[in-house]
Amino acid sequence: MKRICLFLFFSLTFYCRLAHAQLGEIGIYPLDLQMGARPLGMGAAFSGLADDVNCLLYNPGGMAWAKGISLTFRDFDNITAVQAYPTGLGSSLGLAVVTSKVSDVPVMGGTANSNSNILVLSFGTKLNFLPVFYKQPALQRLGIGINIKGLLTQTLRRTGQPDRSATGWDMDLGLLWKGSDWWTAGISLQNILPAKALGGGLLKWDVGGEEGIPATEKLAFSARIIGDLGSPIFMEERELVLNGELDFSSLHPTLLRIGGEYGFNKTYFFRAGVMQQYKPGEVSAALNLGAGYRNPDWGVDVVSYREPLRQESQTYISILYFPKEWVVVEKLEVEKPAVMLETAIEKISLEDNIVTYNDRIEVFGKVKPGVEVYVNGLRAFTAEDNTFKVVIPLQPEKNLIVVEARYEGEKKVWKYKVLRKAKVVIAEEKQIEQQLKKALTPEEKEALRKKEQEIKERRSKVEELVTLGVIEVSPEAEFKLQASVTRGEMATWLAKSTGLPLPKVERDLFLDVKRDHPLAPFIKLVVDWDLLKPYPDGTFRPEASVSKEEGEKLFKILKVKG
Amino acid sequence: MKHKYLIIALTFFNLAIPPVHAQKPAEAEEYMTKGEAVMLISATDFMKKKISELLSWTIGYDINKVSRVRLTPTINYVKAVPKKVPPDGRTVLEVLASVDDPGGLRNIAGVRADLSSIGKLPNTTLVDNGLFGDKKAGDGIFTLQTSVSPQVGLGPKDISIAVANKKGWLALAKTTLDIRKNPAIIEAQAARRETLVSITVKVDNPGRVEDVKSVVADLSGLGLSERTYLGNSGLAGDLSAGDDTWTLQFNLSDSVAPGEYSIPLEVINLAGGRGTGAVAVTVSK
Repeated sequence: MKRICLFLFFSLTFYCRLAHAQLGEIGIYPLDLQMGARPLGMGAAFSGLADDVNCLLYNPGGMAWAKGISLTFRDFDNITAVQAYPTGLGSSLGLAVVTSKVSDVPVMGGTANSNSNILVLSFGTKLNFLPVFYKQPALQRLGIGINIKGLLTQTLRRTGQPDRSATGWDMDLGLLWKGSDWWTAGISLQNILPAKALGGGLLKWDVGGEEGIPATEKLAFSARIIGDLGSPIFMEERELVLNGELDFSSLHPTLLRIGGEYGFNKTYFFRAGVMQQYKPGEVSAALNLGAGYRNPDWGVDVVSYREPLRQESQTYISILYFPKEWVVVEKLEVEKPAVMLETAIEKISLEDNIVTYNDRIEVFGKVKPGVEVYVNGLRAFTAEDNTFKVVIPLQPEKNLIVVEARYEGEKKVWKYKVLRKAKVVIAEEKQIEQQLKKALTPEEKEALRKKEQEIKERRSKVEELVTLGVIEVSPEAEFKLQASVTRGEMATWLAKSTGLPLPKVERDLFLDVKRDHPLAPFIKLVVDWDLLKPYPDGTFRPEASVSKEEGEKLFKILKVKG
Repeated sequence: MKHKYLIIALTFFNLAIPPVHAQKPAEAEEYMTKGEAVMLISATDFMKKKISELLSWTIGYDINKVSRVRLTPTINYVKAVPKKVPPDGRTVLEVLASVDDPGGLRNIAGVRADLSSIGKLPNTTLVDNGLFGDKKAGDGIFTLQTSVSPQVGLGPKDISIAVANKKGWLALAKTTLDIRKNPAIIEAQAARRETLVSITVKVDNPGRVEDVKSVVADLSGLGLSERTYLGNSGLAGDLSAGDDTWTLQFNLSDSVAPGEYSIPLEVINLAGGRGTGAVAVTVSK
């Protein structure tokens, strides 16, 4: 089987049908569609990524996941509109209209002008739409697609030659394999129809004669090196995608295209790519640069691209629209409605950026029928009414809760940030509450409320230090703000707050601090750094209170005003 | 690196400002309160940075902050007994699942099996109450007794088991059944001592051994009955009653000519399945 595939691949590579190539000898290949500001921004190395509607032009294998509309234009003569409509069955229908004009191309004896109008019908799906493959996880990640490309009109005007026009059609096949969450690979076979097969595979000129349409095969790879969960390098709100592609054709040497995209906050994108291109007798390479902006429903991309025939720099702009609910058939069956993963979770109890004192959090909600819910990688039980409810333990400080909706091999991830702060009971806060209840005059109440506010602010600071592990307060104990701080406590808090590594204590430190004293490492650290001094009698007195003067001097060292 | 800067800063300040000498607190001396100490520590540059990072929603929420505590129940094993079952609607099929949970067995909310592949309900409960085929209550081995519907096609069928705990977590596992109707003769031997011939036949019956209706040998080639029944009663040469081996003993007549005879064997079960085989009996002078 492998041999057959390789044979087909390389036979297509060397399959070229140029009779008298009017367009080919100028370097115009109307059915070689490389449009879209985003793909061009990545050096047109897009067949391995194929993750937006422009995949229709580069690798129809990506159509299995594509949706939305893209409108790309340079001027009124060069406009490309691409659309992909998900069917709700793990497949999409696509339509593209491409109109392009190339003017004043220098040719022997003058110049040439070309106009073309192309219509592309596309269909992409995952093989698991077949019942026998329905639950095959590997096939849920494999997209296949086909394009039927019709050249509706192609006109050519050359100096000293009669104007002519042509029509024709051809076909593309594409495969896209989503190897994992972070890499994909693709093969795109373009213009594969043999000449005259089904009346296609060539252009027919109105003045007589035919011209072959050169086939191109693309072998491509894409990797999201930096990105969200599942990427080799995790960086929140940052993404780096690298793409590579080899283009084979009998018409020209193998072309290399490499490019990348760096994204911030899933909103702003910068792109760069090196794009090798061919014109008769010459392979050129150019650096393409692009940028993009994404909104949840729409986006805009721009690229600076070097056109090979006239070696001039051109700017393309693309506008994309991809609403969440965008499906041809909303409900295929009553029992099994089509699921758009973006809306797979109908409701969930979590909000982003939660602050809590609790050591656990309940996550509950409702999903669409057939959707599996995973929380932190673990499967949640979904009841018959499609509700779920799980309890997650929270560690002190920061917690990330990852909720995944999985449906037929596809998944969508939501992340929620939870800060678990330590709860501290302040003894004085209780006293103030009681005093407030007993207060009679408004002045007295006002004074107490002011004091209560101060205590609350201090409680907040205590909680922060307890959360960070600087201060230890057992959950059942009360923290007395007015109690004097001991030298042992101060040593511990200072040592922990600085984060300096604790020294080894190999011998007794002071008369009252033996080497096995629980605070010995902390005391040694603060004494070594002259933050606290021992007493002249050779003791440290960890239980003694820190005097105001001593404390003020200490924090002066630490550049804190009392 | 962070420590390096801190150490440099501390060294600088230690050189610039005279060291603090601890004084024995006098009776009337004021002491620093814990509240004051907390505010001052919070005001240090290094603590301000840490607190700012703690309260920031854009720093530190990475993959390491995802809890990896094991919360789901554990399925130690799932098995179906017998492994091969006829689609007769009467042969008892036991599905057993040994489960556990980080919160103990009391935290198990339920164990369910999807029996749709064998023509039964997709959400059938397994029990661990010592009843309905469950051998011992509370041992973590949940049991279900069912049968395979006669409408079910032959071949391997998956039975998936879902275990949910009271915290809402789910664990899944599956076992595979072989739905077969026909019994198979997996071994047939003939032994001869003078005129006494013993034929032993080992049968693999989908379901239980008790559901084998008959094992028959066609001895017409040896001048005996066309349908002679083999026994599994522990008598007449059969070593053990109720096992998977059937035995027949008979005497050869003198009139049987020497040679090798192939004796056809047939096994029929209560599900209406049929299996055939043969055993060679050599007759010599």
